[in-house]
Formats: sequence, structure tokens, C-alpha cells
Amino acid sequence: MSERHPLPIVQDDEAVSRRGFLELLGAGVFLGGLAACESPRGEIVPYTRQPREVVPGKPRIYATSMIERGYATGILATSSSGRPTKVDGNPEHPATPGGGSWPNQQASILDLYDPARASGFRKGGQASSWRLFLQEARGPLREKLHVLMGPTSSPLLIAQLGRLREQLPDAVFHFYDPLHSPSEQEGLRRSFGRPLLRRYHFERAQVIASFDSDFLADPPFRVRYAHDFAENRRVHSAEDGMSRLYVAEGELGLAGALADHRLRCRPSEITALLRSLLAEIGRRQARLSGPGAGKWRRLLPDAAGGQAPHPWIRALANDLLSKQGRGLVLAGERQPAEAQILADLLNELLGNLGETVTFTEPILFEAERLDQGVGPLAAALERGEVGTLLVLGVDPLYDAPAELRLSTLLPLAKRRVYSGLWENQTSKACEWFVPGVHYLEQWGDGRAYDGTVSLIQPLIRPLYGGRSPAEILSALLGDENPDGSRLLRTSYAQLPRQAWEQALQRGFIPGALPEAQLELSVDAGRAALSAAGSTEASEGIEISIRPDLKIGGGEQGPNDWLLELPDPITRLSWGNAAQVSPATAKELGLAEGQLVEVSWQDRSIRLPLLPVQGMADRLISLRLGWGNPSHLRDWERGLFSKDHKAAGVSVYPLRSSERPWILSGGSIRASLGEETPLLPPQPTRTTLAIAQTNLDMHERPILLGATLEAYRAKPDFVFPNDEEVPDLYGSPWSYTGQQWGMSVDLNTCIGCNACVVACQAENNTPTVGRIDATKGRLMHWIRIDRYRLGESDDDMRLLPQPMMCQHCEKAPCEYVCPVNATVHSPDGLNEMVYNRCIGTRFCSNNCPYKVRRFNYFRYNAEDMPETLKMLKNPDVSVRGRGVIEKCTYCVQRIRGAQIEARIQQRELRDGEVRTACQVACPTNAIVFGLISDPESPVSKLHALSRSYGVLQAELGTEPRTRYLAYLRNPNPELDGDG
Amino acid sequence: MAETIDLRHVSPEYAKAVDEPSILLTRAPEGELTARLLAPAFQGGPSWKLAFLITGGGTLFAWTVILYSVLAGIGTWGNNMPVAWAFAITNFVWWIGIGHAGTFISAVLLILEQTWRNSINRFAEAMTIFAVIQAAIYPALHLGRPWFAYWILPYPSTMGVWPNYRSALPWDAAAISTYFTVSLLFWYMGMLPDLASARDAAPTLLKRRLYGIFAMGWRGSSRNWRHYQITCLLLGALATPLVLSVHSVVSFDFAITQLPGWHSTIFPPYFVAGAIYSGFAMVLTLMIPVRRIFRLHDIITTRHLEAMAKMILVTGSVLYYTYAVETFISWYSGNEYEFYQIVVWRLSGPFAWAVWTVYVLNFVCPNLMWFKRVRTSPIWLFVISILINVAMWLERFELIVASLASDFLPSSWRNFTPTFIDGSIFLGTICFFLFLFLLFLRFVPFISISETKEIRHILVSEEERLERSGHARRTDR
Repeated sequence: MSERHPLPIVQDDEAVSRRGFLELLGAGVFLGGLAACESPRGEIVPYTRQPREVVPGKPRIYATSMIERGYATGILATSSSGRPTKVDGNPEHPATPGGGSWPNQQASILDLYDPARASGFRKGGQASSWRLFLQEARGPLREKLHVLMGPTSSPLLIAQLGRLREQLPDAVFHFYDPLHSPSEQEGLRRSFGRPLLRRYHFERAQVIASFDSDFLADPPFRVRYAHDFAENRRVHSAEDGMSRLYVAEGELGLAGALADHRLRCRPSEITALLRSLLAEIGRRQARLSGPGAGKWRRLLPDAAGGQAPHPWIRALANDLLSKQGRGLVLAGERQPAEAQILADLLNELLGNLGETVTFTEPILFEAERLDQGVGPLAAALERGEVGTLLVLGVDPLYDAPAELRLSTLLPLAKRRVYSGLWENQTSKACEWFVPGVHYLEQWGDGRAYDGTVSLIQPLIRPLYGGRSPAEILSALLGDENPDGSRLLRTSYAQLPRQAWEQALQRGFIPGALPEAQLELSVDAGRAALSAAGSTEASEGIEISIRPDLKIGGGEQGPNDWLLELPDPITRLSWGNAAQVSPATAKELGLAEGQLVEVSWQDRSIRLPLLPVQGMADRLISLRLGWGNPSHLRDWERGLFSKDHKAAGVSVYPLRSSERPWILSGGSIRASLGEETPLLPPQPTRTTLAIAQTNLDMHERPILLGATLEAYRAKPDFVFPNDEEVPDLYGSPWSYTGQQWGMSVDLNTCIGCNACVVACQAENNTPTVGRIDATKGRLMHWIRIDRYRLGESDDDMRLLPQPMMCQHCEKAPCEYVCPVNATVHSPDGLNEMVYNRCIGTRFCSNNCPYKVRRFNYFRYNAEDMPETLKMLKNPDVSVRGRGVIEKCTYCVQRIRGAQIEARIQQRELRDGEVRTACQVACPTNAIVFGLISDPESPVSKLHALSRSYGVLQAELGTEPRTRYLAYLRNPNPELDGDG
Repeated sequence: MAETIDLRHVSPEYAKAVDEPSILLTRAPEGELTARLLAPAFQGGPSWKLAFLITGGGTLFAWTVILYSVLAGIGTWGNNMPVAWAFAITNFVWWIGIGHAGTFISAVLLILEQTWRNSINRFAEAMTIFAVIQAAIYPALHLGRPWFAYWILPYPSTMGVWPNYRSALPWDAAAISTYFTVSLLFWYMGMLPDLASARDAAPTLLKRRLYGIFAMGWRGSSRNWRHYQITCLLLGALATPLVLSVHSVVSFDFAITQLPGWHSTIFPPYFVAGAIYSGFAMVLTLMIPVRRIFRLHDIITTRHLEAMAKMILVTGSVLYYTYAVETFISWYSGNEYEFYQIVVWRLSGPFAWAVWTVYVLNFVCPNLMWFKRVRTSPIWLFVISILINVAMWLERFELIVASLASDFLPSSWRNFTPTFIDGSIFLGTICFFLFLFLLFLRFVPFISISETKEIRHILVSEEERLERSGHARRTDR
């Protein structure tokens, strides 16, 4: 992978390079007509002759990669006539097994077309150009260069950084990730003596004990982890087993919401809990069978002291001991190094190291430097050592700790260059602006979390004329005409052309890093034990800061799909809130939506309050990533005015370098608002856009479930709720031909919302904005309902249930439509004819599942920016104002496949049509297919004893979407409430 | 006066008319009566202008807001998902309900030979027509694409799409348009002799011509009268079943669904009773001030007030019986969704204030009518009629909105908050209604002159006969 091989540029030796042509094609056909965009570089090839591989109207799929916090994940991008319109996981890629994805990956396509993206080069206030930048890059910009960028694993960039260091010995590189947690590396360094990357293997774990770790939601391994976790929760017969999940946490996370046993505790209590677990295992050390157990005997008696443990810990210890080598203890990355070491120690004792937990060398370049963040840069700025500051993509003025005072230090750099997709606070403080490129516009590479080299290839020319980081660094290296594709090909020069094209086709070059062989340091274990023993649980209010479940740290910018997506747990869209337990809210006398001031030391922020069930008491949970002042949205509507504001409130001002996550001794009080003479008083409360206000199922048979044991005793426990309803008329339809149906496994659904965004992307579903979201007018065709199960707050679950059109055989919506706009198709779909709909909404009133959505306004405005029009899926009608819409089972995909099959004169086979939600699901919880074929997976799932139709026994609607009841695997010792 | 008459010796019509108290107190000569009842049509005045200015301004405002909501979309209203129907449908049902009393008075009472209807039927029928006009605005306006409202009608279309007759909405369109047509014809038909009188008495040529056109050549010949009476009877017979059918069909909009709170077989009688109840209340609301302003106490007598109060008592009793049955059945059926909706949610949910107001007002108001003092007191009746109108609006509101706000899946429950536009359109249609009603009062003989004279004729001729035979003596005039 050395860049020194001189190699001719691949694209030039073919007269018509497929990829090059497509690029030009995309640019020629679509960019040419765009008034808002810069005219494309180079020559435009008119569409006079149809290229060999392009069939108009037929989408093409390319493999590429998306980089998240330095790690690559595999992407398959669909291109319709040169416009990328949909992204999904690459099923062959180790980071996205089975092709699942995460909401932010699904939504990344919107970033590409975001009309707010920066276009054009700028120097100071003046428009500039790449040519002028290249000139400066060879001269003044090379002086005392400091580069601030996100973490990277890209072999290409790493090689370039190396060469820059050779050429410019005084160049300094800073790697900055606001979500990075130094304590994790610190723990690893103490335990094993060097930086490492920890990997969990949920597919091998039978007992999972998560301590403040939301492994299903925390990037960058989440898609893989969710997939592996679900593999061990999938139950198809009474003989199948499933893993048991214990979660101790303060907030309700994706994993905690599904936990078989959950312990409410504040994040600061985690270390003590781990210690008491260790003590409990110490008491039963005779049962330890692992090879390492002997070595640790000396240490354990120390741990055996202390008070009687929580029954939860005792049960967990027994469970872990009975599944040695197949258990897994995780400590969240926010936890202090001691907790990390204790978790490693527990895994070592229980023989899990090397089984369910493995290690590799770090994948990120100079991973240990990430721990320091922007601190060294601030110091260098203060000392006046910075000649040129090149910022690539990150926005430290928004997300760096406040005490660094970067906004005052930044001007101390003589020359400041910013490159990114959007203008933001940092870019506005920089004189040079080089528009960045989206991953669908660039050539590049990166490594997946297991070390697999993944390639980024563009599907479209940069819409806004941007340049990739590799091209910018190459310019600084003196390249006169940096070209991403050449740079990348050169760095893989040792690959022959055929292998290279194959790699591009697959999107990655297989080959994971080998597992590291390690030994846990006894001293570190002892030190951690004694340190953990001395920590006392903090008093008072504790503040816990977390990356947001949807937008992470806000690094993906202003993505309306993600802003509007309801939070998977709180169901809050368009903003964040100070989350507290209902008991704490009551104790403090605060109500939902009330504006509160959360302070820690001399820092404070003002945001609305939201009570969240299942949270630990006297804990405030805050989510990062919101309130970026560079991205404004419609916020409030007066009678004749509209207010623009950043969505949500930034929590970054509360953070410091020392205490980025967990702050004890915080305070919270109702914000009364400042009284300013002559101005109207500041509001003291706000309306929260909560998509689901009721989590109580009211004991209705909607989300059915049982314990694993009860299921084994009575496999058809759902039966009374899935009876045939007596009917005077019989079935209204007599079907011939293929019939479609869907099965949703509630046991493997983790409620991540990937399907929601995938559906939005596939079906051109509009966003409604914050104002309409507060009124309950979200347009998502599929939503993830959450229902609370479990009596006590201590041991509750908040279970997800994806809800979309159920395609009832006896559809209540069909008979009430006065104009026949919703009708039954011969293959059993409940169809919606938009052109015929006059918008009485009678169908919605009569839909017991309330899955129909109404265009209260012209959400898909005709005058939307041209780029957003490019995003639309050409196979799906864009709905105007005043019509109802709903899930169609991706009818466009069904009809497309049927046409394809008819051309080939064959029968359509099951598996040829996969709905967008099914493809996106990281845990394969959604299965769609032919129910007319008894051998199809969906037919087999429908035939399972756990399969039921929601409200079937009550209304007899005979839904075609059926659910597999949820199963819980409680520890008999803890005697769950079922 | 009446106690002096021995009812054994009089004709039954006379007995019915003078029965405690009499339906007509004046015995003025016919010409005088005609002139007196035609007078408002020929004289304006500053207070008329002011009244037209206020209601006309309100109407203009209403149409501006309606135009805005058509241009911008009904997102300007408070509706959401799941509460997809709210103010518009509430107002629609309310207005249609109000419309019922007019036809009931003019048609059903005609068939039943209740002569007391004669002096108020024109007035009530006009109220019906104007209320149905208000009601008709809403179903079209509440559509997502109001410009396609006509798709609901069965017309030969090149698209080949026919309305779906399994849905109650095309039934609605048919029922209401039929009702409106028949009511309008009936009203206009009954007005012909009076328009002719107005033509004959009109002070200016223009008025004479205009009334002449609308009088359609009425000459008052016996042939005219014969055809007139047959037609009125036929139209009355045609309109009578419509009184029952229209609100039954409106109730099907709700009853054919499976939404708890809507899905109920008691809805048709319940809605009809509620409609007549609210309609009579609205007649009282309008009639009591008109009677006072135009000094019509001798033509619209206490007898009329009492008769209407009794109707309110009857229909109101049906109504609160229905409330009781609805609540009982929701428990007796053992259906948890029904029970939750009708008992738990309605009585203690976020709309409980509306539900309790309805239950209290609709119980107390009709039951006050047991007292003769209340029945005969214009003040009491006026206040009660206003309260009934408020209660009936709230009843439709909680029925529609509260049921939608909590259906089967608790995940989609959501409350409803109206917007400024919602309120403006409602108030606007009230102004529009009053504007049309004032036009009617100002330009059309609003008391049926010929029918009043008919009663006078019955009374005077019988009294003269009695006087001749010495059975009684006239006490008045």
C-alpha cells in the first residue's frame, strides 16, 4: 500500500471508462440544468449515445464506504440515472453484515443534496478558486502548518500525513473527536500496557452484562453488534435458546430498553457495582474454571469484603459463573479507567477474554493522540506557533470544551483554512474556505473496525465543486493537479487492475487484523480494585452527557431527516431536553416542557425538561449534538411571523476537558427568564415535539410477549389474541396468483429507527418541520411505537413495535373512502391512489392502527431546491397537498421485479423483492415475501406459534403484517414479573 | 277569554287554536294584518344598516379566512393525526342539526295539522335553509383538496370513477342535497302568496317589479290556491321523512366506522333527537328577540313558546336517555375499548370538561321545561336556548374529537388544540348565518301572512258563528 509505485492513471487508458463516463453523465444530465450550482469541471458529454451499461429508468448499485468517527462502514449506493438516491449497508462488508444500516447512514444521502451546503471557494469575503488555493498551498500555507482533523484510519491519508511530516518537519497534526472518551484507552493502557481496540462478540455471548454501555447504539460498531446480538435472540421453536441481557444504567438506552433485567443506577455508581460483582464472584471462586483463575486467587479475597450485594448482582454473578467463556461484561466507554479494568478483569476471570472479548491493534491513526483532543492545538495557538491552521471537517468552535477559549485563540493563527460540507462557526472564523465533498462525491478509503480496508468511490461529481481531504493534503504536498481518483489508485498501485476493479466492485479488500495476544496486568487489576473500593457514590444531582441516539455529536450536520426522526426512547423530535426520572421531576416540582437551567460549577445551559420513565433518580441526562447556531430552522409560528432557531440546545458548553461525560454535583432549577424592560418576558416553557405521548399499553393485546419458559410451556400463547373472528360475509376476496406479506420479529427488533429513515428515503416522504411536528403531523410511513412493560421503574422494559400499514384483508379504510382512493390489489396489497384522493381523512379515522399520514400542507413544495428534487426516488410519486399516504409494501419494488420477471418470462421468486425497511434492518427483524409460497421465509414465520396479527381477535381485520411475539429470558433467581 | 267558551259547541280547529292560550290574539281586519306584517319589508333604517354592517363584516372576514385556508391548506387548522376531523365536522353536524327544526315545524306539523305552526313556519324554515348553507360549507372546506369536492357526487365522468357507495360520505352528500332542495322548494312555495301581496303593496316600481318576478305570477285565484295547497301538502309529505333521514345519514358518518365512541347502533335516533332539540333551541334563540323587536306578541304568543319548550323537553329526554344507554352498553358489552373510551376517557380524560358540561346542561335544560313558569317566560327560554346551543356544539365536539384522540393503539393517542383559524371560521359562519337571516327579515315577509290570515279566519268565523248563536261573547276588541 505504498504510494511510490508510479502508475498510469487508470481512467485515461480506456476510451470509455464506465465509471468516468457515469460520473460525467450524472454531471452532464443533471448538473447542467442546475442554476444553483457551479458549472461542472471539465468537459460535459452530451447524452447522445446510450452507454452500454446504462438503461434509462433502471437503477444501478455501487459499493462504497462511509466514514464515521474514523471507521469505515460498507455502503451500497443506488444510483438512478446518475443521481444517488438511496444508500444501504453493504451485506458483504464486515461492519454491516446482512446489509443492515443505521438511521444516520440512511439519512446521509440527504446531506449530499442539502441545499444549505457551502458552495464555492472563499478567501476572506471574496469568492476564490481552487487554482488560487493551489498557488497558496505551494507557498505560504505550508509555513508552520497545523492540521486539525477528525480521527482517520485511511491508508491514503495516513501515507499523505507521513509525507507531509517528511516535507514539513514543523507540521503538527491534531486528531479531534468530540465523542472520544480517553478513559477507555487509559483503561486498556493500564490493563495491557499499550493502546488497543476492544471488540465484543455478541454472537458467542449467552449472558451479557452491560454496565452503562449502550452497545446497540454507540458508534461505530453498532450495526455489527446489533446484528450479532440479535442472532442470539432469535427464537423460532421451543428448542431454541436465547441470550440473557442484564443492563445497569442511569438512562434508558436501546439495549437497556430490551434488557431481561435492568438495574437503575447513576453512572457514578457503576464502578462500585462492578466491584461488588467481582466480590460476589470472589465468594464463589471455587466455581471458576478458567485457566486464568488461579493467577487471580490471591487478589480476590481482598475483594470479598464489603456489604451484602444487591440481589441483582448476586443473580448476575451466578449466571455469569454458570456460563463461563460465554458471558460478557461490558463497561461503557464513558466510565472511568477503573471500571474498564474491572470489566476486563471480570472477563478474564470468567474465561471470556479471547472468547467474547478480543483485542486488535488500534485501527485509528495515532489513536493515543485522540485523547488530547484540541488541547495541544489551543496551547500552540496561545504560544503563537501556528502559521497555518488547516481544519478538515470538524467544528471545534461548536463542540470543543469551553475553557479552551478557542474562539479567541483561533485568530492567533496567521492563516486559517477550513474545508467542510457546511459553513459553520469555525469556518466563519477562517479566511480560506474550501468546500468539502460528501462521501458519495469522493475517492478515498478507510478501515472498518476489524481492519478491513474499505474503498470510497464517488457516484456523482461534487455538486458544489468541493475537494476531498486527500486532494487538499496533496495540494500541500506540492501536487499541481491533485485528483482523488489518481491519488487513491496510486496508493493501491500494487494491486493489478483486475483486482482493483474487483475491490471497487465489492467496496472493500477483505482481510481483518489478527487478534492481539495479551495478558492482563495483575497490578492494574489490584490498583483498580483498591481505587474502586475507595470511590464513594456522589451526592446531589448528577449530570450525564451522552451522544444523541440519532445525531451523535452533531458531526453529521443539519440533517432534517434525523432532526425530525423521533428519538428511539423518548420519541422526542426536533430538539433535546434535560431528561430526568418522573420521580425527580416531581421532587423538583418541574413539569414537562418547562424551561430549566442546568448548571455545573460556573457553567449553565437553558433547555426544556422532559421526564423519562426508567431513568435513575436525581440524574439529569443531556444529549450532545443539538443547538448548532450555524444551522437554523423554523421554530415557532406567530400569527404573521415565523421564528428561526437552531434545533435544540447545545450541551457542549457544560463539558470540560477533564469531565466530558459525567458531572457530579450539578444543579437544576426552573428558569424564570430574564425580565428586560420594554421586551416581552422570555417564555418559561416550550412545546416539545413528542411523537408518542402515551407509553402505557392499557393492558390491551397489542405488543404480546411471554417469558421464554412460558413460551416453552405453551408455544401458542398468543392464540386467544389471534383468533378467527366469526363473519357473516366471509372473505371479500378470492385470490389467485402471488400474495405478499410481512413478518416483524419483536424479539429481535431493537427499535433503532433505521427502517423509518430507510422508508423515508425510499418513498420520498417529506419532513414537516418542527412546528407541524409539535402538532402531531409527522409523515413517517413506519413508526417505532414503544410500550412500557414491567411494574416497577427499577425493572421495566420499553419495548419497540414497528407499526406501518398492516395491509388488512378486511381493511377498515377501504370501505369508508368515498372516492375509491384506497383499494385492494389482486396480490393483496392495500393500495393508495393519490390522484383520486380528495382528502376526507375518513380512512385514517377508521384505521385502528393509525398508520395513515396526511399532507396537511404542501410539504413537498414544487419550489423546493433543485438538489432536493434530485434526491427523489423516480419510481415513487411525490405527493402534493391534501392527500393521504401510507406504507405500500414498497409497491414500486414489487412491480419493478414483476416487470423484470415478465421480461425474462418466468415466475417471480420469493426473495427478489425486499422492502426498504427490511433491507435497512440491522437485525433482520423484518421479513417480507410471498405468503402464497408455503416454503418462503415469511410463510414459515407466519406459521410459527408466536405469530399474531395486532387487534385481529378484536376487529378481525386479518392483517398481512404479522408480528412474532416478544420473548423475555429472565433469571429464575430474580423472579421477573413476566 | 277561552274559559267563556263552551268547547262542546265549537269546531275542533277552533278548539285547537284557542286552547290555552290562543295562537292568535289579534282580530284585526285582514287588510290591517297584511299591512302590518308587510311593513318591515318596506322600511329600512339606521339600526338595520348597523346590523348588516356587523354581520356583513363578519361574513367577509369568514370568507377571507376560508380563502386563506384553501390557499394554504388545512394545516392552518389544529387537526392532526389521529384527530383528523375536528372543528369543521363538529360545525357541520351542529349546523345540520339546527336545520332540523325548521322542516320539522313546517312539514311534520303541517301533516299533523298543528295550526300553531302557521305563524312561525316561514321563519323556522328560513333558519333551516341558512343553517344548511353554513353546514354545506364545511364538508367541502375540510377536504385536503376542496376543489375536487364534486368527485363525491355520482356524475358521468370521463375518468370512469364512481363514488364508493359503501362509504357514508356519498350518502351524506345525497341526503343533504336532497334535504336542501326540498326545504328550499317548500319554503319558496309557501312564500308565493305573500310575495304577491308584497308586490301589490310595494311602494316603488322597482320593488313591485322585483317582488313580481319572485311572485311568479300569483294571482290568488282559487285555481292558484288549490294547486298551492296540494303542492304544499305534497312537499310537506316529501320533507317529513327527510327530517328523520338526514341526521340519521349524518350519524352514519360515525356509526359505520369501528372507532370506539362512534361505532354504535343508537346513533341514528340519537342524532335525530339531538338535531330537533338543538333546532328548536335555535328557533327560540332567534324568535324571542324578533318577537320583542317587531312587537309580535299577539301573533307569536306564549302558546308558541310553550309548544316549543315541550318539544325541547321530549327530544332532550331522548337525548339524555341515549347518554345513559351509551354508557351502560359500553360496560355491558364487555368491550374494553368501548368502556375505556366512553367511561374512562370521556369522563376523566382531557375532554372531561366538555363532556360534563354537556351532561349537566343537557339534563338540566330540558328538565326545567317541566315548569310552566319557565315554559312561558321568554327570558328563561332565551337563556336556556343559548345554553342548549352551546351544549349541543360541545356534544358534537367531544363525540368527534375525544373519540379520535384515543382509539385502539395507545401509542397514537394525541390531543387536539384548535387554532385561530378554526375559531374564526366558526364565528364567521355564525355571522354569515345571521347576515342571511337579517336579509330574510328585511326583505321577505317573515311571518306567513296568508297562513296567519287563515287562522284569523278560523277564529273570527267561528266566533262570529258563536256570537250569532249566543253561546259566547267576544271579549276582545
